[in-house]
Amino acid sequence: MKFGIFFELSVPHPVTKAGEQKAYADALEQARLADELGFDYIWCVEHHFLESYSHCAAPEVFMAAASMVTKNIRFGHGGVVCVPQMNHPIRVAERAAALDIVSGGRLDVGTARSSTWTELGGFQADPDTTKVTWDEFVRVLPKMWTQERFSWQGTSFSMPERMVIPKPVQDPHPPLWVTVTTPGTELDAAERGIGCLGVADTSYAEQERRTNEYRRRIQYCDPVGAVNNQVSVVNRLYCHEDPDVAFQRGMRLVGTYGLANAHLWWTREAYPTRAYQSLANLSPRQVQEKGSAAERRALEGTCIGDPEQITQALKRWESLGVDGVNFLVGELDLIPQAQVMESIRLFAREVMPKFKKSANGTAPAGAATPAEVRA
Amino acid sequence: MLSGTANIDQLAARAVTMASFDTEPFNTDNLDVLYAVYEIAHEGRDALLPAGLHPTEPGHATFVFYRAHESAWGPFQMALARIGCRSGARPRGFVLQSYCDNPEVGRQFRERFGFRCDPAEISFIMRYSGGTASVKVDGRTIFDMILRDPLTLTGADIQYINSITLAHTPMGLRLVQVEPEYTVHRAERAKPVLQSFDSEAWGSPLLKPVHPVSASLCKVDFTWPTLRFVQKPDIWAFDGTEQIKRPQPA
Repeated sequence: MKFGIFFELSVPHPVTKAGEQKAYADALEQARLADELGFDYIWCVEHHFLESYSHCAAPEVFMAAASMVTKNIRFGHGGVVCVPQMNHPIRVAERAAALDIVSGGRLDVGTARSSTWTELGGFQADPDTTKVTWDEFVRVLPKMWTQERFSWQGTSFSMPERMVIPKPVQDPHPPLWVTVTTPGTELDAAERGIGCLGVADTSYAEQERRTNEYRRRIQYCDPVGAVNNQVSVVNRLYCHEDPDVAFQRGMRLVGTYGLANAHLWWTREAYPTRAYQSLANLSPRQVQEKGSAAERRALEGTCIGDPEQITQALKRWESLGVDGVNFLVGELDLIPQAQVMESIRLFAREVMPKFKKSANGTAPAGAATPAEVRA
Repeated sequence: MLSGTANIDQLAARAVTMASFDTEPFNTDNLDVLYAVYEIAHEGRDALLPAGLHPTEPGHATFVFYRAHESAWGPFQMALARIGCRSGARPRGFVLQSYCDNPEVGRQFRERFGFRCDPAEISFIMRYSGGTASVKVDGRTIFDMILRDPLTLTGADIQYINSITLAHTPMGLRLVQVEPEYTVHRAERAKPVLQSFDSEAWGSPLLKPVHPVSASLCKVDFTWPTLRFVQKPDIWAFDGTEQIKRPQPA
């Protein structure tokens, strides 16, 4: 089981420059600590215009900075938006390769297509075509990274033959993923042989269904590059010896942050199209802040509690075939930074060792195993 | 978290009165429905909503037209202006103003659901080439939209966001959740072009549509519901939602 920290770089209302700077500084400090403690990943979203919810509009810049203060932890775009109005595919390939170089081959590239009208509308992008452009992006990126010279006549872009440089450190290229919000995207991932990066809450039953279907289908994939057979999910983490303290503090990540997510203006709500079939993460279950502690603990699988409770939740995720869990740890400044850091330390000390294989014969922390990656 | 900043007293002064919640569901089948979405000027994002509701970023309005060829009270056309928002976590359209060309239907929507609904001359025409929608009050055009470039969708592609109104109810001044069930039989998406709009006539000079997002033109069966929940307008839904209690049958 691999563990990561998932950064949205959110800023509490009222948004200020100081608030933005604190969000970045806190996240860098968390990344440095996570690296020291043996976490496997940090993931950075790419969002635009989502006031307060996410100020992570240039994740490659944050990851470049984080790579300078860390040694082993891997970095992931979670994910780079594959919509031409936001990112030209050549620039995606160039930036990723450069980031792979400066980080010493520690980059994973998650891909996405954006779920909110706030973002798509802001860039005047056409929601009908984001699946099409995403599909084209994930097919050309490995070629740009691995072919000495590259040309393309495509749907969303074309280019004459050029040398797309620099080339990434990793051979043949950084692992590719797709962010999974709505059911069905896991099938897109499997069919292309790329990793399944969960970024929306799921139940145990739904995740088991998705994971099983993904594992079955990826055996017969038409890979866009090196196969990355991995499934990870997103979760919240607040770990404290006293479970009541853990719930009192940690449930803010579920309640307040979940509500901020529900308040985003989803594409489905603004623009009727076959390309966006659900109201994304809107989930009343995840914003329940009332009720007894027992009722709140009933939010299945959420990693808020004492070390033993979190261990049990993670054992269940592991039993479903999930390879990794990525945690939101302190968004919106909901939990003071010192408490977030203590939570991360306690988790690393008491929980993480129960899920790490012995040192003999295993791959370095975070790296995909040979079974997961085949060229 | 963003929350509305409208003056509740000023909103209350415009709110209609519902004498009771004792209404039965009713159907309006084969309605023509226009559902147009516009981004609105930033100054109206928070200022048009009570504190119990939360705006989106950017703020947006929905303009909804119904054309019923028959109903229990005869044919009618109706037009609504709503502000897109959240009640708790749930998406809602806060009704600022509505108009209806059938006085009895207007009365039904006021008394059953708390719509502020005034008489108007309404024209809503769906064509295979698009459509038009307009509203006139006392001969003055307060809304004029054309719909261009229709593209066929399926009913599953359509998501209507339920309305929430503000009314004086037997439980006090409350936000009233109106949650109709619907089945979409024909659906098209079109490009809305708003040619004329009178903000004052739709409830506030702060309601300024500035950027078209989308419009859908559909044939829909609606079942208008028995009300189940209301919300206090000045506090968020998690603390302010109340179930409507009705006497149990003997």
